[in-house]
Amino acid sequence: MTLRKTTVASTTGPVDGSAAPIDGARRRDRANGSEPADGRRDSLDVFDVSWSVDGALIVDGVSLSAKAGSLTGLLGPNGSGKSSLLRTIAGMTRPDGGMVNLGGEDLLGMRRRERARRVAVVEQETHTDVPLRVLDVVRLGRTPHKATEHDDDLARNALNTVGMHDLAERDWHTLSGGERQRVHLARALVQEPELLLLDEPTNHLDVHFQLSLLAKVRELGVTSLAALHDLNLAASYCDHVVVLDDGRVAAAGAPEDVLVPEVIRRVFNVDCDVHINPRTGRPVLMFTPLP
Amino acid sequence: MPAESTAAPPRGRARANETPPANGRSGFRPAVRQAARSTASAALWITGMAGLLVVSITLAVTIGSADIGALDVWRSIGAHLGLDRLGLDSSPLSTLRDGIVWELRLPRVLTAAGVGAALAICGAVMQTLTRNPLAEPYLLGLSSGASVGAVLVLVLGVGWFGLPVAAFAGALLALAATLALANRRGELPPTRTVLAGLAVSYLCSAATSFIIFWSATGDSYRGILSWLLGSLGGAAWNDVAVVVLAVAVIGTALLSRSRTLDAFAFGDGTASTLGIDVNRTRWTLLILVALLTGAAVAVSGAIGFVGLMVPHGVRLVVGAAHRRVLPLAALTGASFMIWADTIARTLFDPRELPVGVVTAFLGAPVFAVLLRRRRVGQ
Repeated sequence: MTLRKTTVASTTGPVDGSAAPIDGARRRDRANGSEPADGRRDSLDVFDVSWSVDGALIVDGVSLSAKAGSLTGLLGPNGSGKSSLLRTIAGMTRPDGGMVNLGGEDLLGMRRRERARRVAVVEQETHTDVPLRVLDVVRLGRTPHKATEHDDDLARNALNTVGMHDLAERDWHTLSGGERQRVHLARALVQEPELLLLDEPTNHLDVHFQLSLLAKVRELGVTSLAALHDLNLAASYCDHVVVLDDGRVAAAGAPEDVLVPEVIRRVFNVDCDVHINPRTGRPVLMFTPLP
Repeated sequence: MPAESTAAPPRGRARANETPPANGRSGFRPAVRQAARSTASAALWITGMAGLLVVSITLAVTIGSADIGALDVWRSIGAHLGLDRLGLDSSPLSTLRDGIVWELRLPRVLTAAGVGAALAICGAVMQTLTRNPLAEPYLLGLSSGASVGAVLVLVLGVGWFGLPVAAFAGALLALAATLALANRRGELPPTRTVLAGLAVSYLCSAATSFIIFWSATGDSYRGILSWLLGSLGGAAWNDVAVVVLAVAVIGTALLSRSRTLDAFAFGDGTASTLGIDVNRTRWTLLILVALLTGAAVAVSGAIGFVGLMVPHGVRLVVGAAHRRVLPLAALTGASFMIWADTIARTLFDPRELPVGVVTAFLGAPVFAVLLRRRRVGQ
């Protein structure tokens, strides 16, 4: 309910690229008094990143860029290196080679805590044994920052942003999968990131939560890179998509340019027809097995 | 959903935080009040348990075959702290009664408190670092290593003062073996660490049994058994100093890392993206925990159950945030251990039960009640 309304609001609301950034996400810019007009500051540039484990090359010289404030989809079959690439960009694993720049700054050479103030990660499914309140989970996002007395307020604001305000005091274990993902999104938001990495954030979510989660991510206006399984979801919500195949970039560009039958057949090994969703004007893919 | 086909759809980047809760009827207030209540309740619990600890110390000292009143306890403490010179006390205790309070009972009670606090803190941190709800302070082979040291001393008859030192050394050697075994390319994967601890524990237990089988007889056997099950008999002020100092220093250090510990809730991956150097943190904190456990083992033997159950019980009451769990676990563990030891030394007076037996008998039902009530409450 909550999310559907805000989704509508976001599409019919004013387009205003120069509007004040959301509280937090661009605080650094504001503090410097230099909100970049073109938003270039937070653009993500990945150059020739490779990563291998036990001699097997998983990510093989990937380069990509994501424009500041845009949502970029990372697509590809199972084992194509999506998660590994995300983990490398997040600094969770050290690449064999390559560079990752965020707004022109070298992310990989940065201290771990410094990086965590700029990059937040939402994983596909998380699990904990301990009895945590929702608010405590969101507060985890403040870990890389100095503790202040406002942490609770920031956490509540973030919960508000994802439409979960009423559940602040609930036990994490009583939440549904969709609610958990939104709490993790809120946790990522209080990290005040300039870059948001999402690893198949919509797995196991029902269709409503899939749509609302990605709509919410778009709405935030933080540079985002999301590994997605569902090509139609990517077609509907991403500004830009990158298709990985066997650790390499197979195609990249606007969804309507990249998600075409030739690419899909080559990478995913299925036949595909592309239609236009009459309501949204976005591409809709229909798959059939190859003969 | 987006409305255009060509350009990127419009984005409400400025609006995110101003968006009111969409159902409109719930504002900020109820939740704020709730949060205040929950913080206040944690503070209340901590104050309450601190009060209980003071009362427990006082009452536990009065219990025993010699008749001592609660006032006498504080009179004796006051006299030894030099408060009588300030004219606070007009009727000094007899030397005998003062000796019973100051030399016999108080050190034992304070040692019990220190050991209980140490074990509870260690258990809480262990469970977090290994992400294993069954983790306990002795997990890394600490108690079995300490036992080997202690049994060697008891059997070979090195002077009694050598026992704590030998136990401490045994615990540290076992820890070193566990960490060396668990270490993989500088990392300490939680499951691997637990399994390495198990292997070391079994090896040390076998060594202990072997030594006992080979050489223990009669009296030394009973001494060994009481140590293996935990005992606070004969605790003196130097024991108090060791364990209370360890709790104060290491406990404070661990408490100062409570945000870091919180970040482990969703595993190493999440902790690392929150800016935590997972490996360095795990190495550092495990070693701190081992030192604190070692101090407890050295003065009391291996007392089970407290480190496992107290942290769980505390989490059921105030949630998992370490800034609340660690102080409350320490206070609860301290009071719990004082009463367990009081029961151990009085129930079958003049015979003394090993305190580990009492902790298990007392703790299991309390924990079961907490667990059940919690489930019904949800």
